[in-house]
Amino acid sequence: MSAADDKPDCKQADAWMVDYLYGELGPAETAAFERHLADCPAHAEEVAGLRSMLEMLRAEKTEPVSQDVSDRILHLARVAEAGEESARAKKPMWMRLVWSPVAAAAVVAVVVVAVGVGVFDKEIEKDIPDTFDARPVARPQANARRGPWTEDPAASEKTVEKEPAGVSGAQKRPAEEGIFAQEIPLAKSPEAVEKPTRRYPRGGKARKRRPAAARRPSAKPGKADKDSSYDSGSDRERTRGRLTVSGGAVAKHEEPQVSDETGGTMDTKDHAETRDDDTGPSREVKKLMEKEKLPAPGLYHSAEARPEKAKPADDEPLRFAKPPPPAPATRSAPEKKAEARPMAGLPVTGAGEDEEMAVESVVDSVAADSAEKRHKRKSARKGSGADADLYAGAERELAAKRYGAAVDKYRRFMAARPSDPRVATCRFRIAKALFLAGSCEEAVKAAGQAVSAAPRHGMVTATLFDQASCLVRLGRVEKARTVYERIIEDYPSYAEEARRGLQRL
Amino acid sequence: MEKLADEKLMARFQKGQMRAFEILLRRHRGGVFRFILRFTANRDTAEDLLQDTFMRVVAKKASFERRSKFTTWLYTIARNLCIDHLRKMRHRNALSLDQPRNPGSESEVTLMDRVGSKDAPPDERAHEHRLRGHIARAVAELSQEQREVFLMREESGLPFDEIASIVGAPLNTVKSRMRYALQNLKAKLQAQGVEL
Repeated sequence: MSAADDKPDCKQADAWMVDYLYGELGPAETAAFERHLADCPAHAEEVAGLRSMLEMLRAEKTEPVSQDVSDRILHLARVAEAGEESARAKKPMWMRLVWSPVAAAAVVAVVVVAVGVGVFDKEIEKDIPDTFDARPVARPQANARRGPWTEDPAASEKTVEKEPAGVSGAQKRPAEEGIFAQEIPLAKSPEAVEKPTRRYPRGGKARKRRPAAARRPSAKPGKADKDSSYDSGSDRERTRGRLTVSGGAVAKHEEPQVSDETGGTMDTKDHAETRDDDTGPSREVKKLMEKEKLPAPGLYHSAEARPEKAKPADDEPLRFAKPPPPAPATRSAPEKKAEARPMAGLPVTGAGEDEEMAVESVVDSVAADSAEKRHKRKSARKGSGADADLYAGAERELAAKRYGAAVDKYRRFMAARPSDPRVATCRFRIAKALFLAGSCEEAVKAAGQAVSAAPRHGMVTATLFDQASCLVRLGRVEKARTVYERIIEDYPSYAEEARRGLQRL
Repeated sequence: MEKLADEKLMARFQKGQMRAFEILLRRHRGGVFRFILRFTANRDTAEDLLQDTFMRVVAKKASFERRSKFTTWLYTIARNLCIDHLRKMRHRNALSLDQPRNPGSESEVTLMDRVGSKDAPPDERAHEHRLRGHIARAVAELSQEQREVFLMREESGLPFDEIASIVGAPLNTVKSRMRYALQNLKAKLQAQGVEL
């Protein structure tokens, strides 16, 4: 039956039924179909019944998707896109060398050195008596690793620390963070690893000490920041360095923290607290400052430039030269002297060493005492932004069957946001991940905790079945029986499945 | 941008415009969610799979060709995820919280109703709950082939030719599945005592 004006038979009517119900028949076919319905009570009844049912189904609206889910998807999409963008933005190494902030800073550093070193260093040399020890702080391997652009470490370090007097760390901070919030971390750049950059407090003031790893190879590893690259005896502590050139015109600050004397990290505030907590170092510093007749703030030198003469101003973080690292036997005295004088023209003396070491020990002890506290504060500060991604990350890990990572992220999320409504779900997800990972013992515990904490959660029954399954695998049959009985009692619609579980026991 | 066709929005998203993705998400989240929800009969799972669907759109955006219809591509992703999920659940032998607590009994309260709230559903909503339970059960009892066609048409409003592209079957086969799905649903609902 193909002619629309003819009356279709039942077979043709069957073929047109759906199209007719959804209004997708042409006018001629529709008229022909309706003529058939007039003569065929069976099809007329079927069409009426299906229409009625469809109306009922359409009236029964499902709940809309929650806004939370939409927001979550959007957030994850943005994160994924951002990741893709940053990957796309990766340039060849030569291009990064040319255009990276480090390279730019190096260029500016050379210029500033050419102008500034001659003027300021001569003043320093003239004004400061030769009482401060200028022992070598640059380790041989550090020099060996430097690229050709850093042949003159003094030059680059003098310039990176220059900051106009009167610019406080608090004033500088927003600009610095704004500039570098999206920067690719220097620490990840192999070129950066080799650069003699250093971390400074937010105020832009130079650390005037040699790297902790060089001074104290046995520095406690626990105090090292997670992403810091402190390797005893290596030059890696330089890699996370902050590079600030001429009052922050060109700067690279990865984190609002600086290397502390214990191999960990600290920020300006922490450092200030450290000094406030213990007045000993401050007094010692004052004595030293009086003794050394410090130059006016304005030009700061990093650790390798510092040992000669420059001393901290009142508001500068404390930095003192440390005893030199165990020198290789092959290093000759002239070589040491050369290392101790990265800035040509400044005299090297050994006076004041005992006093300096005494002060240094006080500073170290204070720094060591507060290292853990500082690390916690830093973690909390960083966590506030990263926590939001933890849950989504955990979900992704779970979906990707990386159960260990998923559990870890769920736990971190729970620790970071204990009052988040998703914490209950996290517990169940952890139990699920452990179950899927085959960690039966842990899964049983996690399931018990999850069900106890949220007995009305949507994942309770599935979790209880998982728990029972784990208990069976662990040979704790009686306990598994109890779980199945609980399901039968509390969740009757699952009773049949639970009874099957019991029978298997 | 709000009035642009899906395919043009997708092209813009491929160029990195997140705003285009936002519009696509807002435009299709409801239909995809209803399809998945009816398909899996579990709200939590449906939300997870909805997220997975759109995240796959993000991850695979480069593979989308402008000649294709976006909804075809989107629902193909959603359908594949649903089928994968059902396969996994079959191994797990888990029951859905949207299924009635006591299949075959008079009670139509689902486990979700019981677990999700401390109180029994109010009387005035009891009928709705009962009906929803009947429909959910009837849909769940359809074969996968009939169910997906029925849901794509009824819950997501896709035309039959697009459904045919998504499920990879001829148009007439899709219409035939739809008709059987409707007939089966009607029979199952009547068997549950629902007056049509």
